[in-house]
Amino acid sequence: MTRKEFELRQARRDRRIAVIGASIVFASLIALYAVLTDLTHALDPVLFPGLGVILPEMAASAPELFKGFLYSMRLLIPSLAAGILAGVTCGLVVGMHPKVKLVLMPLFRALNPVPPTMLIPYAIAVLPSFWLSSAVIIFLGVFWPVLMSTLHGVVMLEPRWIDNARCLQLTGRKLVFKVILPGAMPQIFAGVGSGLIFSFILLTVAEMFGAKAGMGFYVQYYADFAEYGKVLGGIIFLSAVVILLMTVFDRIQRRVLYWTNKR
Amino acid sequence: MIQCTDVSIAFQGKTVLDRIGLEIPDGAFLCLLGQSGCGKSTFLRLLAGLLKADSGSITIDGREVDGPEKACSVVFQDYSLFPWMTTGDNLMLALKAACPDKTRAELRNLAESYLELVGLGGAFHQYPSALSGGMRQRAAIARAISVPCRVLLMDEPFGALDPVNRAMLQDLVRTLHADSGGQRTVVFVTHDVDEALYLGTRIAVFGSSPGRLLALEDNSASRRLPREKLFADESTLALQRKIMSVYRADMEKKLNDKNLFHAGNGI
Repeated sequence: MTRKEFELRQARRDRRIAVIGASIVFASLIALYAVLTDLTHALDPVLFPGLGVILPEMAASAPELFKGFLYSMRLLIPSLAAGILAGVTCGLVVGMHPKVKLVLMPLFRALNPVPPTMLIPYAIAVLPSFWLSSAVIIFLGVFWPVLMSTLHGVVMLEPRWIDNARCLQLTGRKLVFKVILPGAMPQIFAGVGSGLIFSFILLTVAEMFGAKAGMGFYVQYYADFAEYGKVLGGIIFLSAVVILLMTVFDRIQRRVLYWTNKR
Repeated sequence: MIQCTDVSIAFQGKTVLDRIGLEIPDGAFLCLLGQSGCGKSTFLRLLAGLLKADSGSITIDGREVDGPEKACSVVFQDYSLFPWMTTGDNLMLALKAACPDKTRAELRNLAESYLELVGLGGAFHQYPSALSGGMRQRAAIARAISVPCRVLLMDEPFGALDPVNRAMLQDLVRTLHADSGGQRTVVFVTHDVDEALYLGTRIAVFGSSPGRLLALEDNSASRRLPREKLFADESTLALQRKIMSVYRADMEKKLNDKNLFHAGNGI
């Protein structure tokens, strides 16, 4: 058996353990909830509707949920992409110019910790549309962690990689795209990961403020009517979407950072 | 020819190299020998143009070294290959930068043939992390000699290898240098006296704090002898004793140097 086969087998076994184990934990939690609601009625039926209520509600509002999903993605994806692109670009440019970094770092340190949620009312007042103000809030929530981690990644680059690149006469775009960007990728992905999680939070918070559709709006809207079956259904749907997006992110990360796993 | 005249450099007020004067003729294999912290790696970085000397001059074939030097390629102890590219891509990146006119297929062929030359024919599609330390250094050497450069700079390239791998790679480097027929100059940094005796046609012994040239020995006769005969050879053993005594005197001087220890700043 070669090392590759062995690793493959190990990975398959780990995945099996993860899938089976997680399924058992999930199933037990759902069963416990069913026991407390539908079977024994131990919990308040208005605040904690049983699965017999939640699941039909979810099925009935599937088109509405899906529309909300599309609406949320139309807000999330462009803001996220812009935040990552701007964060990585600024991080690379500033990180590669020590003097610029010296000048801008105090500014970054001052602006970075300002919670974007605090800016929501102001953004809504200043910007012409709801979509734009929410997009700016999500953009900022992604931009700062990505910028800071990219800067960190450029600073932490192994100095001998840079020496090597200089000896190989690599300059300009080649230096950036063949050496600096891939070398900083582990830190960049760490920043994108936290930016991604933060963006879900900001998305739903922003949608609760003044949206007319979207997943956060759905939950907020039915909470106002005390339809907690739909509220819980919306939360479950939202979690499923988040899990899906995080899985996609993990896949991409594993593919791009294959070289860090085995060193 | 590499000509160094009165090269000095200081970091944070501390002199690291003090007026180094050294002449390296074409085709020489110069070993820089010295204990750690004597500035031998700094000297190599100066030759590569990665650092600039505070005073003095370094010229390669009469041309002043200013910025990363095209005539030099470098092999470090580790981190020589970029881990996010396959071994083949690592070579092709270097080749592409050195020969921008060549087509992809030509670059690929060149990369493959140089990997074969160092005994890594099957490693083209492997990532560095999948290779052993010795194989990584082989690939780094392949990359360094694949580009058309006349000076090969090696900074303790075998320092992290096990003894068997080290011996094999020493043989490889010795053969590659002999086969170049005087076309390639090698500057090789090491702290291993036997390694210097086996590889170097010239041996420069560096002293520490501040780094300066203590001795420059001719060892060109060693090239006639294979490894097992070399270390039974009387003149080699005499040279070994001579270098050892210079080396040891420098170490003892450093140990007795009271300025090395600062009161209260330690652990």
